Amino acid sequence: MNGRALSREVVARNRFSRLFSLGDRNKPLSWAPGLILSDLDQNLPLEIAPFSFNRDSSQPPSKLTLSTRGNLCYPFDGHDVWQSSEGLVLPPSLSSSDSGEFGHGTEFLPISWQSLHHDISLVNSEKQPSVIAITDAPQLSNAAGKLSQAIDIVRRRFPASLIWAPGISGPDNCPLLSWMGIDLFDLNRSRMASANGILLTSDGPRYPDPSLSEDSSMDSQIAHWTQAIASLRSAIRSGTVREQAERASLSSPRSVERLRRHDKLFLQNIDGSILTSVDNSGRRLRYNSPASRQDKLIHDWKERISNLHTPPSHQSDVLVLLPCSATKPYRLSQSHHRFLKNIPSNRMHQVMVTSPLGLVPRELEDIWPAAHYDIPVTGDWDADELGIINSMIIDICKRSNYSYVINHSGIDLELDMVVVKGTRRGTAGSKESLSELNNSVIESVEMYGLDDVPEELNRIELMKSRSRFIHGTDDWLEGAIVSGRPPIFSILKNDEQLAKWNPRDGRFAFSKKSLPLLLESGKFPTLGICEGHKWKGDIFPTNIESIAGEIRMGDEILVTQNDELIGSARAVAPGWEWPFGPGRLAKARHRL
Amino acid sequence: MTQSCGLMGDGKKPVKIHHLVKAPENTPESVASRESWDASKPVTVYKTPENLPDGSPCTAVTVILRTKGCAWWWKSGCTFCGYFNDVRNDVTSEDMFSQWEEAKRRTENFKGCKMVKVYTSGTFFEDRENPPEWQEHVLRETYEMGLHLVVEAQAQMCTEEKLAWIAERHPGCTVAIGLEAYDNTVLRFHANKGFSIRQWHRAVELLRENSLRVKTYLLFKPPFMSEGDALEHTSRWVREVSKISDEVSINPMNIQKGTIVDRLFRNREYRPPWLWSLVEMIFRTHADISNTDCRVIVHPTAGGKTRGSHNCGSCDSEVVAAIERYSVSGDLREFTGLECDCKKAWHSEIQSDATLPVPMGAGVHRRGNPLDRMRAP
Repeated sequence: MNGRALSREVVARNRFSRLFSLGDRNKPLSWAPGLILSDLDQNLPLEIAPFSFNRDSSQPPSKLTLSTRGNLCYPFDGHDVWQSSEGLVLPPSLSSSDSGEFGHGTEFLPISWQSLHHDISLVNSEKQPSVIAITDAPQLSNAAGKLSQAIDIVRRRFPASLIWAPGISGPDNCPLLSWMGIDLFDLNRSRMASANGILLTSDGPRYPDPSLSEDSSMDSQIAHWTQAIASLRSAIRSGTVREQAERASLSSPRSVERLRRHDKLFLQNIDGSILTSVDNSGRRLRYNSPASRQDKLIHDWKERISNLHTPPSHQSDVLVLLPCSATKPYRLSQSHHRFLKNIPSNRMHQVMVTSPLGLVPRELEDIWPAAHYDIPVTGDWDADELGIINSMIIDICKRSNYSYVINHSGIDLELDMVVVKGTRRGTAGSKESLSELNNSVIESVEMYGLDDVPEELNRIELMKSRSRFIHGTDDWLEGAIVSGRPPIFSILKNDEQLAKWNPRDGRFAFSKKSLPLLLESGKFPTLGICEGHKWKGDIFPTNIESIAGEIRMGDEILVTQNDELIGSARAVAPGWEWPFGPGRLAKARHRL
Repeated sequence: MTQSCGLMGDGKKPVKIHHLVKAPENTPESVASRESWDASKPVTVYKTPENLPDGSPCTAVTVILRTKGCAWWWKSGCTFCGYFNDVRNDVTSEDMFSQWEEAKRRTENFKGCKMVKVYTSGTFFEDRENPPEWQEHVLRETYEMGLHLVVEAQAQMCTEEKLAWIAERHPGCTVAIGLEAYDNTVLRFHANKGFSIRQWHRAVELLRENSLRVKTYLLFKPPFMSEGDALEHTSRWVREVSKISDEVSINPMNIQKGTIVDRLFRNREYRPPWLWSLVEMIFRTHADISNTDCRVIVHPTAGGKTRGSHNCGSCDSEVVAAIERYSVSGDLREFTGLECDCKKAWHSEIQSDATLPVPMGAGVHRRGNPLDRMRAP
């Protein structure tokens, strides 16, 4: 049952959705997400269907064979055949029992709800199959939440494996399944649809339209699959799988339910190891439906703003709430240009009121995801949005102990612990409103004696506040100064550059000199390279001996060997893929 | 992720299927329901058309008695069997005689019948289940009345001594054994049957030695098995067991209250077989069976209902009728002209089950709006 492992590399990532190249990385022959073909299926191109599958059920438990349809395993000299045993599988509702014979195989591993509960061999970290099949996926899909749970745990436990949930996929749910972590699909539902005279499309099942000579043949079904997979692969590259999953899920109540359950599961996992900390690819997050608000990224932002973020130290007296703008970062919009002109003080803590992020402090408007989201703007807030915004404002007011709130946002605030001054007179940009804003700022400056602080202090405090939010510490900035011309700043200490801040990147670009300070802070993720390994290239699973701290995609990671700092790298894979993820996990940045 | 028994385990030792079988039976509701029955009256008595061993048609009376149940059920039990619903612990010998008399009274001493099937929700001749004096009375009386007797037994209960004792009191009667599957893995895992194929073969040998007739029950689509696998396996089993049985009765699964299968059905983890699967099995095995002396009958209990074998809802009654006609005539022409759109959906499900790693199947609901059925699961 042994065999050669599948050669695979992640070429694009969007949370659990990943686009794999299969075969020789310099000349990949196939890709996943893709299809697994059975003996019944027509011969599809290798690019879309990397595997074929056969099941011998003559004697229980059935014998399973998964074959590559091209030369996908090193040294790429032929097709590979992986065999496994299906095992005896009890339905999910009988998980308290144990059949005594689990599915097993080396490169192709059948897994079930039952084996997830009782098969101790799955805990063995040496088990890293190339492909996993969740053999009771059709039954799990009928049980509230179990499919989401099973996929989540299998996905995290086997970050390098391609996962197949046989029998449940279609062009209508492949974006959702991919978002949840499924990589391989099959034509089962399309075959069933064809038998029923129905066309299974990305928009769900429908009858073929005779006016355009449509039919429900397998050729037509495959055409829809091809389109769906192309669209999914493209969405992974552009980071828009969530949007596609939300849209596709609307064709089935089960899919809507599944996305909600998946979001809930992510929220229960308190760490952010699935998230991205920096994304300067230029992609936009389009939160066009209420379902988007349930995404982990949104909750993570709200949680950190409400419970962790502290404003620059000289801006702790007066909070100015402003409306958001369609242009990001906000300061580049015309409306914020006017607001800024009417806030003649650097002692005001400006916070934008928005959805779905709730609140975005001015000092964080350049970072991910605050600088990258879009929402449809009607000017109306729904009860859910108002509730979230109000509760976040209460949280930050409690923690920051503001003395005064200037509310230019236009939403009604329910604050009783602090004086609130409303400045909206009609629209936020009207002359009257802006004048009121200006007057209120001047009044508060006089009322609380808030003279402007020197620009150098203003700049370094802004940097410290950003660093506290992004890295959980500003220790490394102690004694540092900020120089340079906006928008790009250098952070120096003893005439040596520690880092650069480029708002377009939304991150600190650390220099070699800063690395010991970062290590000293104890707040940066670190990884230990294997003893004796000569670190030349990037970070791969085989180099890693230990990991400490939460890793988000884009994070700066300090690299150590024998407890000595030897450099830094940037995570190209989020923490859930570490340490057994497929291929490169981090890109080398500095070597000391 | 490091629990002692798997990625999602809670560290508890897994229970045996046996415990899951027993759980629903021992609920206070189940016990109260069983004890509410009148122990002096049989569960049911009814007449059906049948064939005698020589093939001649006759009327048979079926008497289902309320007993103490099956000795295997006392210890464990089969995954699909709901006969425990009809038994009670305190049935006495007097009750058994009384039930037998009541059955005779209701049928005017089996008037017009040439065959009597006496079912005890267990093994007829197991002394712990049924009083020996009552067994003897039934055996002798039916023999004296010239009735062909059919009784049921578990294979492991068919001992040399007991079968000789039976043969002496009612020579040539039929002993029906619920083999269910001609596969040890299926017997153990899917059915929790309590005996092996070897024990069944031994029972058949002993029945032959005592010139008793062998009837074998096979179960179509046991739990934890897909439609496609059920069709493949049962077709094979029919061919095998028909070689050494006088009669093979194929019982498509029907959902009996309080069983594991009932639990799976309610959790949408199991659907009874398609009627088309039964038709297909008949076509696949007909030629082989025709070469034997064995009679094969298929009786879809609750056929056409969702708790029994069913199709799309529009063709069910016709297909059930054709299957039942075939069981009497053994003629494939009974199925001539039988078609329905749902046959394509059935065929697609069978193909999927055979070609995907889905041991419990990938089928969807068979009834209702087709577009809704095809929506993403």
